[in-house]
Amino acid sequence: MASAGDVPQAPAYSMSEPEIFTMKHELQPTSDREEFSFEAVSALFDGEGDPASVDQFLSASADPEAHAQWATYALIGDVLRAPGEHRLQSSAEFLAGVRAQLASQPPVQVAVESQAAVTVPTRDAANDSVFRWKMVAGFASLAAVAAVGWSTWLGSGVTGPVAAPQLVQAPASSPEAVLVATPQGAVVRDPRLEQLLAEHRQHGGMTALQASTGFLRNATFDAGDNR
Amino acid sequence: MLVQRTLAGEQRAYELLVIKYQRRVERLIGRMVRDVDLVQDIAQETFIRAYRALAQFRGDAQFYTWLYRIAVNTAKKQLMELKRDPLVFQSQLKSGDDDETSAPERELNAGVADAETPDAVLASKEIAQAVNAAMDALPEELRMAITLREIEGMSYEEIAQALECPIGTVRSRIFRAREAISQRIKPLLERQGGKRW
Repeated sequence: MASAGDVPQAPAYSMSEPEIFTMKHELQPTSDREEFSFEAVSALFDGEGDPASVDQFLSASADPEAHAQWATYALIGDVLRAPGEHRLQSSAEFLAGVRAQLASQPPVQVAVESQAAVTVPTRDAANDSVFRWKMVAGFASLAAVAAVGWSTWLGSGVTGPVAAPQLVQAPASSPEAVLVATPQGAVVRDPRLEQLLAEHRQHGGMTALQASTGFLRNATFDAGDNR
Repeated sequence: MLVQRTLAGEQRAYELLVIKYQRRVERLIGRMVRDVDLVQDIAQETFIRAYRALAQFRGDAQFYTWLYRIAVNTAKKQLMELKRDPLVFQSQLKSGDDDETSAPERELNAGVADAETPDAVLASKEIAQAVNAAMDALPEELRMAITLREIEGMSYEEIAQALECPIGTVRSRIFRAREAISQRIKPLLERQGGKRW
Protein backbone atom coordinates (compact mmCIF):
# COMPACT_ATOMS: atom_id res chain seq x y z
CA MET A 1 0.00 0.00 0.00
CA ALA A 2 1.33 3.37 -0.87
CA SER A 3 1.94 5.67 2.00
CA ALA A 4 1.33 9.36 2.10
CA GLY A 5 4.95 9.87 1.33
CA ASP A 6 4.58 8.00 -1.93
CA VAL A 7 2.06 10.43 -3.23
CA PRO A 8 3.61 12.27 -6.12
CA GLN A 9 3.97 15.91 -5.51
CA ALA A 10 2.27 18.28 -7.81
CA PRO A 11 4.51 18.64 -10.82
CA ALA A 12 4.62 21.51 -13.17
CA TYR A 13 1.02 21.58 -14.15
CA SER A 14 0.60 21.31 -17.88
CA MET A 15 -2.75 22.59 -18.92
CA SER A 16 -4.00 24.48 -21.83
CA GLU A 17 -5.04 27.28 -19.51
CA PRO A 18 -2.53 27.13 -16.68
CA GLU A 19 -3.62 30.46 -15.38
CA ILE A 20 -6.80 28.86 -14.15
CA PHE A 21 -4.96 27.21 -11.35
CA THR A 22 -2.79 30.06 -10.31
CA MET A 23 -3.24 31.34 -6.81
CA LYS A 24 -5.32 34.16 -8.17
CA HIS A 25 -8.06 31.60 -8.41
CA GLU A 26 -9.77 33.66 -10.96
CA LEU A 27 -11.02 32.57 -14.31
CA GLN A 28 -10.05 35.07 -16.87
CA PRO A 29 -13.15 36.50 -18.40
CA THR A 30 -13.64 35.82 -22.02
CA SER A 31 -16.02 37.28 -24.47
CA ASP A 32 -18.42 34.38 -24.24
CA ARG A 33 -18.10 33.64 -20.56
CA GLU A 34 -19.15 35.70 -17.65
CA GLU A 35 -16.51 36.44 -15.10
CA PHE A 36 -16.75 34.40 -11.94
CA SER A 37 -14.31 33.28 -9.33
CA PHE A 38 -13.63 29.81 -8.07
CA GLU A 39 -14.19 31.21 -4.60
CA ALA A 40 -17.76 31.81 -5.63
CA VAL A 41 -17.88 28.25 -6.93
CA SER A 42 -16.62 27.06 -3.56
CA ALA A 43 -19.29 29.02 -1.74
CA LEU A 44 -21.93 27.81 -4.16
CA PHE A 45 -20.81 24.26 -3.62
CA ASP A 46 -21.49 24.75 0.08
CA GLY A 47 -24.89 26.22 -0.64
CA GLU A 48 -23.68 29.63 0.48
CA GLY A 49 -23.60 31.32 -2.86
CA ASP A 50 -25.78 34.19 -3.85
CA PRO A 51 -28.22 33.96 -6.75
CA ALA A 52 -26.00 36.07 -8.94
CA SER A 53 -23.13 33.65 -8.53
CA VAL A 54 -25.48 30.79 -9.39
CA ASP A 55 -26.40 32.54 -12.59
CA GLN A 56 -22.79 33.15 -13.42
CA PHE A 57 -21.73 29.64 -12.64
CA LEU A 58 -24.53 28.02 -14.55
CA SER A 59 -23.82 30.19 -17.50
CA ALA A 60 -20.19 29.12 -17.27
CA SER A 61 -20.74 25.53 -16.20
CA ALA A 62 -20.66 24.37 -19.77
CA ASP A 63 -17.00 25.15 -19.46
CA PRO A 64 -15.28 21.84 -18.68
CA GLU A 65 -12.92 23.54 -16.24
CA ALA A 66 -15.77 24.89 -14.18
CA HIS A 67 -17.39 21.47 -14.09
CA ALA A 68 -14.05 19.90 -13.24
CA GLN A 69 -13.56 22.30 -10.38
CA TRP A 70 -16.95 21.44 -9.00
CA ALA A 71 -16.19 17.74 -9.30
CA THR A 72 -12.85 18.20 -7.59
CA TYR A 73 -14.49 19.95 -4.67
CA ALA A 74 -16.93 17.07 -4.43
CA LEU A 75 -14.10 14.57 -4.50
CA ILE A 76 -12.22 16.40 -1.76
CA GLY A 77 -15.25 16.42 0.45
CA ASP A 78 -15.90 12.73 -0.13
CA VAL A 79 -12.34 11.81 0.72
CA LEU A 80 -12.36 13.93 3.87
CA ARG A 81 -15.61 12.40 5.06
CA ALA A 82 -14.47 8.84 4.35
CA PRO A 83 -10.71 8.77 4.69
CA GLY A 84 -10.54 4.99 4.51
CA GLU A 85 -12.67 4.81 1.42
CA HIS A 86 -10.80 3.45 -1.55
CA ARG A 87 -13.70 3.04 -3.91
CA LEU A 88 -13.83 6.45 -5.45
CA GLN A 89 -15.87 6.24 -8.57
CA SER A 90 -15.39 8.69 -11.36
CA SER A 91 -18.19 11.17 -11.46
CA ALA A 92 -17.75 11.49 -15.21
CA GLU A 93 -18.81 7.95 -15.94
CA PHE A 94 -21.59 8.09 -13.43
CA LEU A 95 -22.82 11.41 -14.73
CA ALA A 96 -22.77 10.08 -18.28
CA GLY A 97 -25.07 7.28 -17.20
CA VAL A 98 -27.42 9.64 -15.40
CA ARG A 99 -27.33 12.00 -18.32
CA ALA A 100 -28.28 9.23 -20.70
CA GLN A 101 -31.26 8.36 -18.56
CA LEU A 102 -32.20 11.97 -18.10
CA ALA A 103 -32.23 12.33 -21.86
CA SER A 104 -35.22 10.04 -21.95
CA GLN A 105 -36.89 12.03 -19.21
CA PRO A 106 -38.78 15.20 -19.88
CA PRO A 107 -37.12 18.18 -18.24
CA VAL A 108 -38.43 18.46 -14.75
CA GLN A 109 -39.96 21.83 -15.48
CA VAL A 110 -41.59 20.46 -18.57
CA ALA A 111 -42.63 17.45 -16.56
CA VAL A 112 -44.37 19.71 -14.10
CA GLU A 113 -45.97 21.64 -16.90
CA SER A 114 -46.91 18.51 -18.76
CA GLN A 115 -48.41 17.17 -15.58
CA ALA A 116 -50.38 20.32 -15.37
CA ALA A 117 -51.17 19.95 -19.03
CA VAL A 118 -52.43 16.49 -18.37
CA THR A 119 -54.32 17.11 -15.20
CA VAL A 120 -55.29 20.71 -15.16
CA PRO A 121 -56.73 20.92 -18.66
CA THR A 122 -58.55 17.69 -18.02
CA ARG A 123 -59.81 19.12 -14.81
CA ASP A 124 -60.60 22.37 -16.56
CA ALA A 125 -62.38 20.59 -19.32
CA ALA A 126 -64.35 18.63 -16.79
CA ASN A 127 -65.09 21.78 -14.88
CA ASP A 128 -66.03 23.57 -18.02
CA SER A 129 -68.36 20.83 -19.00
CA VAL A 130 -69.90 20.71 -15.57
CA PHE A 131 -70.12 24.44 -15.53
CA ARG A 132 -71.91 24.48 -18.86
CA TRP A 133 -74.37 21.99 -17.59
CA LYS A 134 -74.80 24.06 -14.49
CA MET A 135 -75.49 27.07 -16.69
CA VAL A 136 -78.03 25.12 -18.66
CA ALA A 137 -79.66 23.93 -15.49
CA GLY A 138 -79.64 27.43 -14.10
CA PHE A 139 -81.20 28.92 -17.18
CA ALA A 140 -83.76 26.16 -17.26
CA SER A 141 -84.63 26.84 -13.65
CA LEU A 142 -84.93 30.55 -14.31
CA ALA A 143 -87.06 29.91 -17.34
CA ALA A 144 -89.32 27.62 -15.37
CA VAL A 145 -89.69 30.16 -12.58
CA ALA A 146 -90.36 32.91 -15.09
CA ALA A 147 -92.97 30.83 -16.88
CA VAL A 148 -94.73 29.94 -13.66
CA GLY A 149 -94.54 33.49 -12.47
CA TRP A 150 -95.82 34.84 -15.76
CA SER A 151 -98.71 32.44 -15.88
CA THR A 152 -99.52 33.21 -12.28
CA TRP A 153 -99.32 36.89 -13.08
CA LEU A 154 -101.67 36.53 -16.01
CA GLY A 155 -103.98 34.16 -14.23
CA SER A 156 -104.46 36.51 -11.36
CA GLY A 157 -105.76 39.12 -13.78
CA VAL A 158 -103.49 41.69 -12.42
CA THR A 159 -102.22 43.79 -15.19
CA GLY A 160 -100.98 46.63 -13.20
CA PRO A 161 -98.44 46.99 -10.56
CA VAL A 162 -101.08 46.80 -7.83
CA ALA A 163 -101.64 43.13 -7.38
CA ALA A 164 -102.94 43.11 -3.87
CA PRO A 165 -106.39 41.57 -3.49
CA GLN A 166 -109.13 44.08 -3.12
CA LEU A 167 -112.52 43.77 -1.60
CA VAL A 168 -115.37 43.89 -4.05
CA GLN A 169 -117.16 47.08 -3.44
CA ALA A 170 -120.73 47.61 -4.39
CA PRO A 171 -121.29 50.38 -6.81
CA ALA A 172 -122.52 53.41 -5.18
CA SER A 173 -125.66 53.52 -7.34
CA SER A 174 -126.61 49.90 -6.92
CA PRO A 175 -130.32 49.42 -6.55
CA GLU A 176 -131.66 48.55 -3.15
CA ALA A 177 -133.32 45.22 -2.39
CA VAL A 178 -137.04 45.60 -2.03
CA LEU A 179 -139.59 43.45 -0.33
CA VAL A 180 -142.33 42.47 -2.74
CA ALA A 181 -145.63 40.98 -1.64
CA THR A 182 -146.53 37.93 -3.72
CA PRO A 183 -149.27 35.35 -3.41
CA GLN A 184 -146.74 33.02 -1.87
CA GLY A 185 -145.70 35.60 0.57
CA ALA A 186 -143.25 38.41 0.80
CA VAL A 187 -140.20 37.95 -1.39
CA VAL A 188 -137.09 39.97 -1.39
CA ARG A 189 -136.42 41.20 -4.88
CA ASP A 190 -132.85 42.12 -5.30
CA PRO A 191 -132.04 43.39 -8.79
CA ARG A 192 -128.46 42.24 -8.52
CA LEU A 193 -129.53 38.79 -7.48
CA GLU A 194 -131.94 38.64 -10.33
CA GLN A 195 -129.24 39.75 -12.73
CA LEU A 196 -126.91 37.08 -11.46
CA LEU A 197 -129.57 34.42 -11.79
CA ALA A 198 -130.42 35.60 -15.26
CA GLU A 199 -126.77 35.29 -16.29
CA HIS A 200 -126.46 31.82 -14.79
CA ARG A 201 -129.78 30.49 -15.80
CA GLN A 202 -128.29 27.47 -17.51
CA HIS A 203 -127.19 26.25 -14.13
CA GLY A 204 -130.62 26.60 -12.74
CA GLY A 205 -133.64 24.37 -12.96
CA MET A 206 -136.47 23.13 -11.05
CA THR A 207 -135.97 22.40 -7.48
CA ALA A 208 -136.00 18.86 -6.33
CA LEU A 209 -139.43 19.40 -4.81
CA GLN A 210 -140.82 20.68 -8.10
CA ALA A 211 -142.77 23.22 -6.22
CA SER A 212 -142.08 26.19 -4.18
CA THR A 213 -141.99 25.64 -0.58
CA GLY A 214 -142.66 28.06 2.03
CA PHE A 215 -139.52 27.43 3.84
CA LEU A 216 -137.21 27.29 0.85
CA ARG A 217 -136.16 30.25 -1.05
CA ASN A 218 -136.53 29.44 -4.71
CA ALA A 219 -133.65 31.11 -6.30
CA THR A 220 -134.27 29.73 -9.74
CA PHE A 221 -134.98 32.33 -12.28
CA ASP A 222 -136.87 31.50 -15.40
CA ALA A 223 -137.40 34.14 -17.92
CA GLY A 224 -140.95 33.81 -19.14
CA ASP A 225 -140.26 34.88 -22.67
CA ASN A 226 -137.78 31.99 -23.24
CA ARG A 227 -140.26 29.32 -22.44
CA MET B 1 -30.63 27.17 -5.28
CA LEU B 2 -29.55 24.44 -7.65
CA VAL B 3 -32.82 22.65 -7.00
CA GLN B 4 -34.74 25.74 -7.92
CA ARG B 5 -32.65 26.14 -11.04
CA THR B 6 -33.34 22.56 -11.98
CA LEU B 7 -37.02 23.14 -11.49
CA ALA B 8 -36.66 26.19 -13.66
CA GLY B 9 -35.53 23.91 -16.44
CA GLU B 10 -31.75 24.06 -16.10
CA GLN B 11 -30.68 20.45 -16.31
CA ARG B 12 -27.05 21.42 -15.81
CA ALA B 13 -27.94 22.50 -12.31
CA TYR B 14 -29.14 19.00 -11.59
CA GLU B 15 -25.95 17.55 -13.00
CA LEU B 16 -24.05 19.60 -10.46
CA LEU B 17 -26.16 18.07 -7.73
CA VAL B 18 -25.46 14.62 -9.14
CA ILE B 19 -21.73 15.25 -9.07
CA LYS B 20 -21.90 16.63 -5.57
CA TYR B 21 -23.88 13.79 -4.04
CA GLN B 22 -22.93 10.83 -6.23
CA ARG B 23 -20.38 9.22 -3.97
CA ARG B 24 -22.32 9.91 -0.81
CA VAL B 25 -25.29 8.12 -2.32
CA GLU B 26 -23.10 5.30 -3.56
CA ARG B 27 -21.55 4.91 -0.14
CA LEU B 28 -24.96 4.78 1.45
CA ILE B 29 -26.22 2.18 -0.99
CA GLY B 30 -22.95 0.31 -0.66
CA ARG B 31 -23.84 -0.38 2.96
CA MET B 32 -26.89 -2.24 1.74
CA VAL B 33 -25.60 -3.72 -1.50
CA ARG B 34 -22.07 -4.84 -2.03
CA ASP B 35 -22.14 -5.40 -5.78
CA VAL B 36 -20.44 -2.32 -7.19
CA ASP B 37 -22.30 -2.49 -10.49
CA LEU B 38 -25.56 -2.82 -8.67
CA VAL B 39 -24.63 0.04 -6.40
CA GLN B 40 -24.06 2.26 -9.39
CA ASP B 41 -27.29 1.17 -11.02
CA ILE B 42 -29.24 1.89 -7.86
CA ALA B 43 -27.47 5.19 -7.40
CA GLN B 44 -28.34 6.21 -10.93
CA GLU B 45 -31.90 5.11 -10.42
CA THR B 46 -31.95 7.15 -7.23
CA PHE B 47 -30.97 10.29 -9.06
CA ILE B 48 -33.45 9.66 -11.82
CA ARG B 49 -36.22 9.14 -9.29
CA ALA B 50 -35.17 12.23 -7.43
CA TYR B 51 -35.21 14.18 -10.68
CA ARG B 52 -38.72 13.01 -11.43
CA ALA B 53 -39.88 13.87 -7.93
CA LEU B 54 -37.92 17.08 -7.59
CA ALA B 55 -41.02 19.21 -7.76
CA GLN B 56 -42.14 17.55 -4.53
CA PHE B 57 -38.99 18.60 -2.71
CA ARG B 58 -40.18 21.44 -0.51
CA GLY B 59 -36.81 22.47 0.79
CA ASP B 60 -37.86 21.91 4.38
CA ALA B 61 -35.04 19.41 4.77
CA GLN B 62 -31.57 19.33 3.35
CA PHE B 63 -31.48 18.05 -0.20
CA TYR B 64 -29.26 15.18 0.82
CA THR B 65 -31.67 14.14 3.56
CA TRP B 66 -34.39 13.96 0.95
CA LEU B 67 -32.10 12.18 -1.47
CA TYR B 68 -31.07 9.79 1.28
CA ARG B 69 -34.65 8.55 1.70
CA ILE B 70 -35.03 8.05 -2.02
CA ALA B 71 -31.77 6.11 -2.16
CA VAL B 72 -32.76 3.83 0.71
CA ASN B 73 -36.18 3.18 -0.77
CA THR B 74 -34.71 2.53 -4.20
CA ALA B 75 -32.19 0.09 -2.79
CA LYS B 76 -34.86 -1.73 -0.79
CA LYS B 77 -37.08 -1.99 -3.82
CA GLN B 78 -34.19 -3.28 -5.89
CA LEU B 79 -33.35 -5.87 -3.28
CA MET B 80 -36.94 -7.05 -3.14
CA GLU B 81 -37.07 -7.38 -6.92
CA LEU B 82 -33.83 -9.30 -6.96
CA LYS B 83 -35.08 -11.75 -4.39
CA ARG B 84 -38.19 -12.33 -6.47
CA ASP B 85 -36.39 -12.57 -9.79
CA PRO B 86 -36.15 -16.22 -10.83
CA LEU B 87 -33.50 -15.40 -13.40
CA VAL B 88 -31.13 -14.53 -10.64
CA PHE B 89 -31.62 -17.95 -9.12
CA GLN B 90 -31.19 -19.60 -12.51
CA SER B 91 -27.95 -17.82 -13.19
CA GLN B 92 -26.67 -18.65 -9.76
CA LEU B 93 -27.66 -22.29 -10.07
CA LYS B 94 -25.84 -22.54 -13.36
CA SER B 95 -22.73 -21.19 -11.74
CA GLY B 96 -22.38 -24.50 -9.90
CA ASP B 97 -21.94 -22.80 -6.58
CA ASP B 98 -23.72 -25.10 -4.17
CA ASP B 99 -23.27 -23.29 -0.90
CA GLU B 100 -26.35 -22.51 1.08
CA THR B 101 -26.27 -18.78 0.58
CA SER B 102 -29.29 -17.59 -1.36
CA ALA B 103 -28.67 -16.50 -4.89
CA PRO B 104 -29.61 -12.85 -4.43
CA GLU B 105 -27.50 -12.57 -1.34
CA ARG B 106 -24.56 -14.06 -3.14
CA GLU B 107 -25.10 -11.63 -5.95
CA LEU B 108 -25.42 -8.72 -3.61
CA ASN B 109 -22.44 -9.80 -1.59
CA ALA B 110 -20.22 -10.31 -4.56
CA GLY B 111 -16.73 -9.02 -4.00
CA VAL B 112 -15.98 -5.44 -4.75
CA ALA B 113 -12.63 -6.22 -6.25
CA ASP B 114 -14.30 -8.10 -9.08
CA ALA B 115 -15.75 -4.90 -10.43
CA GLU B 116 -12.84 -2.60 -9.81
CA THR B 117 -9.58 -2.82 -11.59
CA PRO B 118 -6.39 -2.71 -9.55
CA ASP B 119 -5.48 0.51 -11.30
CA ALA B 120 -8.71 2.11 -10.20
CA VAL B 121 -8.19 0.97 -6.63
CA LEU B 122 -4.65 2.27 -6.65
CA ALA B 123 -5.73 5.59 -8.10
CA SER B 124 -8.36 5.92 -5.40
CA LYS B 125 -5.80 5.23 -2.72
CA GLU B 126 -3.39 7.73 -4.15
CA ILE B 127 -6.04 10.40 -4.31
CA ALA B 128 -7.08 9.75 -0.75
CA GLN B 129 -3.50 9.91 0.42
CA ALA B 130 -2.87 13.10 -1.51
CA VAL B 131 -5.90 14.73 0.06
CA ASN B 132 -4.83 13.69 3.51
CA ALA B 133 -1.27 14.87 2.90
CA ALA B 134 -2.56 18.19 1.65
CA MET B 135 -4.73 18.52 4.73
CA ASP B 136 -1.75 17.92 6.95
CA ALA B 137 0.17 20.60 5.13
CA LEU B 138 -2.56 23.19 5.44
CA PRO B 139 -2.23 26.08 7.85
CA GLU B 140 -4.22 25.50 10.98
CA GLU B 141 -6.92 28.06 10.21
CA LEU B 142 -7.54 26.62 6.76
CA ARG B 143 -7.57 23.03 8.00
CA MET B 144 -9.99 23.95 10.76
CA ALA B 145 -12.32 25.74 8.37
CA ILE B 146 -12.44 22.94 5.81
CA THR B 147 -12.81 20.34 8.54
CA LEU B 148 -15.75 22.08 10.14
CA ARG B 149 -17.36 22.45 6.78
CA GLU B 150 -16.78 19.10 5.11
CA ILE B 151 -16.64 16.75 8.05
CA GLU B 152 -18.82 18.47 10.61
CA GLY B 153 -21.21 19.84 8.02
CA MET B 154 -21.40 23.25 9.65
CA SER B 155 -22.68 26.27 7.81
CA TYR B 156 -20.50 29.28 7.16
CA GLU B 157 -22.29 31.17 9.89
CA GLU B 158 -21.72 28.41 12.40
CA ILE B 159 -18.08 28.19 11.44
CA ALA B 160 -17.72 31.94 11.75
CA GLN B 161 -19.12 31.77 15.27
CA ALA B 162 -16.91 28.84 16.17
CA LEU B 163 -13.77 30.44 14.80
CA GLU B 164 -14.81 33.95 15.83
CA CYS B 165 -14.18 35.45 12.46
CA PRO B 166 -16.31 37.03 9.75
CA ILE B 167 -18.23 34.85 7.35
CA GLY B 168 -16.21 36.28 4.48
CA THR B 169 -13.08 34.99 6.14
CA VAL B 170 -14.61 31.56 6.52
CA ARG B 171 -15.56 31.55 2.88
CA SER B 172 -12.06 32.56 1.88
CA ARG B 173 -10.38 30.00 4.13
CA ILE B 174 -12.51 27.14 2.87
CA PHE B 175 -11.83 28.12 -0.68
CA ARG B 176 -8.10 28.40 -0.12
CA ALA B 177 -8.03 25.04 1.57
CA ARG B 178 -9.86 23.46 -1.31
CA GLU B 179 -7.58 25.03 -3.82
CA ALA B 180 -4.50 23.87 -1.97
CA ILE B 181 -5.83 20.32 -1.90
CA SER B 182 -6.83 20.59 -5.54
CA GLN B 183 -3.29 21.49 -6.42
CA ARG B 184 -2.13 18.23 -4.86
CA ILE B 185 -4.62 15.92 -6.48
CA LYS B 186 -4.98 17.40 -9.92
CA PRO B 187 -1.81 15.75 -11.22
CA LEU B 188 -3.22 12.44 -10.09
CA LEU B 189 -6.48 13.15 -11.77
CA GLU B 190 -4.69 14.14 -14.92
CA ARG B 191 -2.74 10.93 -14.81
CA GLN B 192 -5.99 9.04 -15.12
CA GLY B 193 -6.07 9.97 -18.76
CA GLY B 194 -7.96 13.15 -18.26
CA LYS B 195 -10.81 11.29 -16.70
CA ARG B 196 -12.79 13.69 -14.63
CA TRP B 197 -13.48 12.69 -11.07
